[in-house]
Amino acid sequence: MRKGYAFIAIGALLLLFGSYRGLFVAPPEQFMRDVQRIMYVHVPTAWNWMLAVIFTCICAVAFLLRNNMKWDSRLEAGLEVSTVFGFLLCCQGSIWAKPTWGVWWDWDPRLTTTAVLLLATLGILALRSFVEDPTKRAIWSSVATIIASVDLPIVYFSVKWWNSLHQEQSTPQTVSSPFHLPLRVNAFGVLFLMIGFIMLRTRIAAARLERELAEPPVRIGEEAGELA
Amino acid sequence: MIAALRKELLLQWRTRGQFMAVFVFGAATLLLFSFGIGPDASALRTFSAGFLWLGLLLSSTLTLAESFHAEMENRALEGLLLLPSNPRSLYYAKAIANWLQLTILGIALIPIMVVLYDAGTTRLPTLLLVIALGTAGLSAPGTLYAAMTAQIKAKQTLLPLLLFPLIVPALLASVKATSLVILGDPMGQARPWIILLLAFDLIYWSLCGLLYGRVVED
Amino acid sequence: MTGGVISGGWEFVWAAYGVSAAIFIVYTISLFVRLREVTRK
Repeated sequence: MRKGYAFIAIGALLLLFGSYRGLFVAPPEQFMRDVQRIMYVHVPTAWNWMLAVIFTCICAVAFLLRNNMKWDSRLEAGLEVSTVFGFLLCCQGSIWAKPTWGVWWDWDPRLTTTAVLLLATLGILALRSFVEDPTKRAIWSSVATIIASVDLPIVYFSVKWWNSLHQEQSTPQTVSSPFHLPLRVNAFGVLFLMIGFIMLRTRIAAARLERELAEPPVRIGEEAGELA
Repeated sequence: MIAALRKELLLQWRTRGQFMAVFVFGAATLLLFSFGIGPDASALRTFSAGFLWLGLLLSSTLTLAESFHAEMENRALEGLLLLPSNPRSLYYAKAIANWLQLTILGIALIPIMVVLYDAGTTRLPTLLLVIALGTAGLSAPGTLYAAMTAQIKAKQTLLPLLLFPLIVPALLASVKATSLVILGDPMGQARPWIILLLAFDLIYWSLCGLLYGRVVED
Repeated sequence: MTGGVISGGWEFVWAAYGVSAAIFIVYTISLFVRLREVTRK
């Protein structure tokens, strides 16, 4: 059994426990009452999404410095997992926004910059599918990832810098203690899920790369045509 | 690098007919936006900054794609790599040339904007500054991605797909600053946006220059 | 946030948790299927 599945299993268990606590044991919040319970999935997803993006950026830098294709496989995994988490984040946020803000979406700084980063990672995945040469693909996606990651600090600090509709960062200072346990448990739950996902996806990317590199080389006539 | 820059500017001067085409494209986009909104004069004026920058963004895909066209035509990109000058100078030369072209385009579109949207302003120097800084923010990553996508077949689709999400922060700052300049800025909010724009420019111009060498290596 | 207290809203809570669970489960299955396909060859 792959280690990745083990991580996913642990993550799922943690999430089940944390969510149980968050949904049924933790007290309702002062203003938002029960709708606030969405926080126990939304904030962990947000934290882990940012971690996934940071991981992806690290892989990009590592590849450019080391030129080792295993970093490219990890990069591909990181990109895909970041996209999935980012998409989920926007869904959860949207569902939370409807009862609290009255709208499904708003173009405030936090949401806008998050959507931008999501689109950027999607774009880089698209770029990868268009480039056939593995080395070029690796270099270009690494470069694009580094540039896209410039947006992440903006996402993080957007609630601080601008008068955003979105809440402030959730830290032990801004969140009161009855809410801590389910939040922390779920945060680790999603973290384990993320690690498991990245492990499995890296394996898939590495296997595909192996197959690609083992294929017979491109015929000369085709190579010239590619630059047209 | 000066030699590379001179070559780029010379190339641009020789193809200045193409600039006319891009200008017409930009003007047409602005016209289309005004059709989209309809005869609502105050709405046109309110959104004029957004329209200007969207028009510039769309036109930039034409400009940027063109900038590597000459190299790709004759596979001159590889030839340039063999020269003793380093790829970074080539990048900066192209990026500056593109920047210049986009800035001129922006300035050329101002009268169109004034006529179509009644969006004039007395703070012309500030407006010019914002245009210059904003187009710089477009040009740096744009030139880098143009270099990448020029080498593959799906270049038309990929350049906007890659570029647009990445320049949104800079675009946002440009639109906000321009909007404040045009519509009035009682609380002096334009300055922080301009500083933010400057910060983006510094980050992008250094980061992209740093990464360019890897993008065109063989 | 201004305004008063929001009452109820459990359907949003279930929707949010449901969507999260669904996406995690579907993604896990997709990984499993792709991994099997790639290692079988």
